[in-house]
Amino acid sequence: MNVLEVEHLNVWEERSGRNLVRDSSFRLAQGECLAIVGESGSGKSLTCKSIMRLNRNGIRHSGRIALNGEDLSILSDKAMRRYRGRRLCMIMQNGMSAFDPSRPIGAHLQETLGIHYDWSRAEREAKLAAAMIAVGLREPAAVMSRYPFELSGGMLQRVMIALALVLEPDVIIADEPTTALDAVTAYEVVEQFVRLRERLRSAMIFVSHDLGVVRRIADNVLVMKDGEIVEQGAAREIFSGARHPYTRYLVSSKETLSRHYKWLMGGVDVAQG
Amino acid sequence: MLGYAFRRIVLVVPLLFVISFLTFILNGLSPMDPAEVVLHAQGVPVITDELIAETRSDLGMDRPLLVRYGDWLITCLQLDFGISFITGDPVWSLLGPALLNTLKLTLVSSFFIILLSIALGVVCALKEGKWPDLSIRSISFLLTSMPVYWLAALLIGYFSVKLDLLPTSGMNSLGSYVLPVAVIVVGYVGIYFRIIRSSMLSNLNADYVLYGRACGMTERSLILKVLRNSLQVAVSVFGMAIPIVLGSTVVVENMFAWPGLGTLTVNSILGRDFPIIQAYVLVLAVAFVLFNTVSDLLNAAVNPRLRKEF
Repeated sequence: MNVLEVEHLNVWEERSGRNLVRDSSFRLAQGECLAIVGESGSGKSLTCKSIMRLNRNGIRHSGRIALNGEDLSILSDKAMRRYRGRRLCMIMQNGMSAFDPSRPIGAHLQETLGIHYDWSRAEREAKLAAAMIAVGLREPAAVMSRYPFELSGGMLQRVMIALALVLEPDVIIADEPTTALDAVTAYEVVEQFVRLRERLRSAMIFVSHDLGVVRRIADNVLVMKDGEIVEQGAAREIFSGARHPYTRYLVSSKETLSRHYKWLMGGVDVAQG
Repeated sequence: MLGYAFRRIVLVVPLLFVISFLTFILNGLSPMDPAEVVLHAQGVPVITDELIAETRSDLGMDRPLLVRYGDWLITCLQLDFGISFITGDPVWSLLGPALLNTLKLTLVSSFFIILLSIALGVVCALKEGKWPDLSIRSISFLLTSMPVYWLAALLIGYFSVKLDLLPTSGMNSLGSYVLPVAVIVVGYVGIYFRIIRSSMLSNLNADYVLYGRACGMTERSLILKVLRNSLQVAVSVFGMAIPIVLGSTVVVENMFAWPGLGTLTVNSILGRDFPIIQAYVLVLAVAFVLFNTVSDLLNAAVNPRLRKEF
């Protein structure tokens, strides 16, 4: 059973008619993690935003996007809004800018849970606190009373993961969640994503241009270039024997970089015991 | 917040000292000797060096600078700014009522400037690129480009002379406010609503709005957040706008014969009436500092970052 099916997705700019994503089709099975890789501007984020129906004004999309067999494009705005967060949960690239700067983190979390569940304030707080401890945030009450600028990017990334844990969505869409982090923090956050998958059994779309991270987390990989899918398949096959020259180029340029990365990550592993 | 407010207010004190001192020595920079001006103003036919020296000591100008500053400051705090060189009246008896009249004009105008700027800025940002945005922006561009005196003349010509609805000049009734306020508001709204609009737009496109949407938050809740964050810019901008309006009503006051500061100051500058000019500069500078402080405090009330980092 496929949780998410994307068929013939086209994304274009309304004014110029320029195609940004062309005839993209893929599916996501229960519990599967699909990585979308490709350089910036290849249409990875647009694909994610189209699934969430969150493309900004002037960007249009067509094609069938179905969640558990239900076509999302025919939903009313209100119904779609209720799906966001509860069934399709997004995790942003930059935690530092993802929260309202004028309110404590807890306000965002409380408001989000209040939209989707009938829990009391105390229940919401208890569930959030448990999830925060699960992702390694030791003092949940303190974190919730902090403003976004008082926390680090890695902590805010964990806060978003914790929120996803409480929301228990069908699909988690993580749009380059490690790009804005330093290598060590990125590693720790990726580990949290791996654990998130183990806990929730949700399907996950993991956008990244970091093949080291992709190798760690993804079952399947979808390679995008200039708005088109050039290759998709099991992660293992892609890394061992890519067919498309662009994928081979990505993998080979990664190999040189990843030696340093592995050395660094190995160091962290040892330190953490 | 109380701690921040206290620190912010304490900071104002040295600032006021610096401002008052600068205002005080400003007089020394003038090419005209005040003693000479006094003698001219009193119509003394022959001005001798002796007479000038005598007048200087009458005015207390032969004492050390800091002593004179101290005395001057103490008298200023009692609203005693000296005697007008020209009319011989106490400066405050001329400046006080004029200040009050200008303040009335300024505050009424500022109220409408803030109200209209926020309303138009929000509408334009929410309808970006659509007809309400485009039409508001082009009309405001047209109005802002009109010179103040020309717009004032047009309005007087139409509403006062042709329709005989509103008084042409003076400050006799509520109706007297309509045209001067309209002219001032038109001049400033065109600038300030754009600041609100662009601040709203940059907030609307911010990541936190996208993430809020992705979490299922309602548009109404998100617009309130955007508004709150945009108003942080607005508070500082308007905090400075009020004293700017206060200091720039000269043309409008002259067009409508408004008995305010602008009219008084222009006459004083032409007559080289130093005590009045000095008092005017001081009052305006203090007004700038006060409005700026109030806007900082308001800003801190809505912006946690300011409150915590200061």
